[in-house]
Parts: sequence; C-alpha cells; structure tokens
Amino acid sequence: MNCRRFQNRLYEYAEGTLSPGTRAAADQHLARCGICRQAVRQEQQLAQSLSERLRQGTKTLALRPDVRRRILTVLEHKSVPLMDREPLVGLWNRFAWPLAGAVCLLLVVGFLLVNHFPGVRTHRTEIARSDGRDISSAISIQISYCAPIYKFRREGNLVVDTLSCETVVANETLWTGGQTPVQPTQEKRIPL
Amino acid sequence: MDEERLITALKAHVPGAAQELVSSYGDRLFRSAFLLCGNEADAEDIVQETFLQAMRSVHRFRGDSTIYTWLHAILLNLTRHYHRDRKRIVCDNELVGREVSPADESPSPLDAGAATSALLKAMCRLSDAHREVLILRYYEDMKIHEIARHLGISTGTVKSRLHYAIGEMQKLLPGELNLFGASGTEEMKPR
Repeated sequence: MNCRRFQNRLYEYAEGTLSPGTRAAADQHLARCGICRQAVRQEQQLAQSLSERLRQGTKTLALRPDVRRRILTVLEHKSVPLMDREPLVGLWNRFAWPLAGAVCLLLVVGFLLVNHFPGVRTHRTEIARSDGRDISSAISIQISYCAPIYKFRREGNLVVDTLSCETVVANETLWTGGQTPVQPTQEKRIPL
Repeated sequence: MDEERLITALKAHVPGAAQELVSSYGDRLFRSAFLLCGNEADAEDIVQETFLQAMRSVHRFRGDSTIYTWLHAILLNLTRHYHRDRKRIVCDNELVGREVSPADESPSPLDAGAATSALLKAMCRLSDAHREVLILRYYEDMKIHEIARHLGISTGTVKSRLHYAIGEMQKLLPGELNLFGASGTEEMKPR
C-alpha cells in the first residue's frame, strides 16, 4: 500500500472498519511512513477534540417542559395514521391508481376490438338500435306501377279521348319479426 | 422498554408509548437539531414535527435500523426543508455565545468554553452539506458507510465533504484554537 491508497482509507482505518487484509497492509505501510502516521494521529485528535467540544456545547440543552407537553399534546391529537383517521380517503389513495390503470386497459382493449373485428361493431349497432327494429332483418321494397289516365276533350263536333299512363314509384320497408309495416316512406309520380 | 416493544406499542397506539418515545429520544434529537439548524426555537419546532411524522409513519417502520437512526433521518429531512425555506442558517447568538460548561479534564475552563463557542459559530458558517457530515461524523459518531447510507450519497462524497468541512473550519476558527488538540497546528495533508 502506498501513501495515496492509505490516505483514501484513512477514515475507515481510524474508525476500524477496514477488512483484516487491508488493515494488515495499512499497518505495514504505517510502520514505515511517518507522514501517514501523523495523518492518523491528526484524525484521531480531531475526532476527539470536535466530539468533546460539540458535546460540551450542547450538553446543557434539553427540551423545555412546556415544549415537551406541547409535543405530547400534538401527538395525541394529530398523530393518528391517515388510514385510521379517514378510511375512505385511505382506501381511495390505495386503490385509485390500480383502478385508473384497469379502466385505461379496458378502454384500449375495447377500442382495438371495435376497430379490428367488424362483427363486434355490427353487433353493437344492432343492440344500440334494438328498440323493436332489427336492422339486419329489414327488407327494403321499391314498387313501381303504371296508373292509366283516360281523358276526353271536345274538338269542334268531335270528342277526342286520350289514354295516358303515369308511373308511380313507392318505397317501402318490410320489418320481420311481427312488426307492423309502416306507411310508404316515399312516393313519387312520374308522368309519361 | 426495549426498542422492539416500544415500536409494537406505538403501532398499537398503546397509551403512554408516545410519551416514552419523547422521553427517550427528545433531548438527543433536540441537541442534534440545534447543531443542524443553529437556533433553539427552530430546533424545538423541528423536533416536534419529527415526532409527529414518526408517529404517522410508524406502521411503515420495519426495524432495519435503530429507532434513533430512523428518527434522525426524519429530522435531517425536515432540517433540509427548513434550510431550503430559510435560504441561510440563522444562528442563535445567545446560545453560541453563552457560557459553556467546561470539560472536567480541561486545564483551562475559560479556554474550553470560548473554544466551544467559537466552534459552534464556525459551524454555522459552513454550507448545509458540510455541516451535516461534520455533525454525523463527530457528534453522532457515525461511520463513513453509515453516513453515506443516511444521506444517500457515496462514501467518496462523504470523505470529500468531510475533508472540505475540516479545512473550512480551520480557516474559520481563530488561530489560537486548533482542531488537532495538543499535537499542533499543522494543517492536514490533502487526502
């Protein structure tokens, strides 16, 4: 061991916390190095001097009786742990984060399911509109028929008759499952 | 009451347990708080808050350290908050300048009292980090690795802070007062 390595371990040497091997090497070094011996002496004297003076400077200090009483009063009234004092707040503090994590996880899983499995979305739509009308069982019907129109007019002494046809288009939705058909939703007349 | 029984009693809110805690550790914590924050009034408040926090968190104490070390860790944390709020330490001039009872073996009582007073004043002028290691090492008698664990820093940083703090103290103390006892005034070699 050289001086530099010894000085790095000076505090541990003085307090006696070096391992036996390092301690033996340090002792060997000290036997032949006066500077390091002086450093050890200084550290020991410093420890003794500072320790004594600090203790001396504070040994008359003590908590005053009224301060002691005040501390005990405060401890009596305020020292109850949070869990005992406010069980709901304590429970909330304990479970708030796990609960928030679980909700976030459910939202993410739900979002992924809806976007990657269309069947799920259809099903959800059907449920959402299941107020008596099932969209998947609705049949849209468009009826187009021709309505004849027979007209007479007079031209001098003659009576002229004309036959024309008007196409009527009607849209209808047929609901299965015993639902009452609704009235035509749209009707348009197209004259020929 | 031994430490284990005291902690069990505190956890069970046994009447008188808090009083036992304050009686056993109050004065010792108060002295340490005084050295850390520099005046008696703040030291009293810090000690009160230390006990309050300790009682509130006693159910988390697992017995990995002694009760005093646990309490002192809380106190140290509170002192840091105190320093952060105050920005600089306010030393109680009456206390650091008051008559100090001399050590029994001291050949010159007046010198011992003046030296202690000067020492406390000089410590007030150290930075918080340097004052902390000095107090933990030479007042609380902690070993280097214990200080490192207590402060959450490396042993190298502890040694470096100690070395700097001792150097500063030597500069701040009057020439006739040296920290190295009778062996002389020679300055410590850099480590």
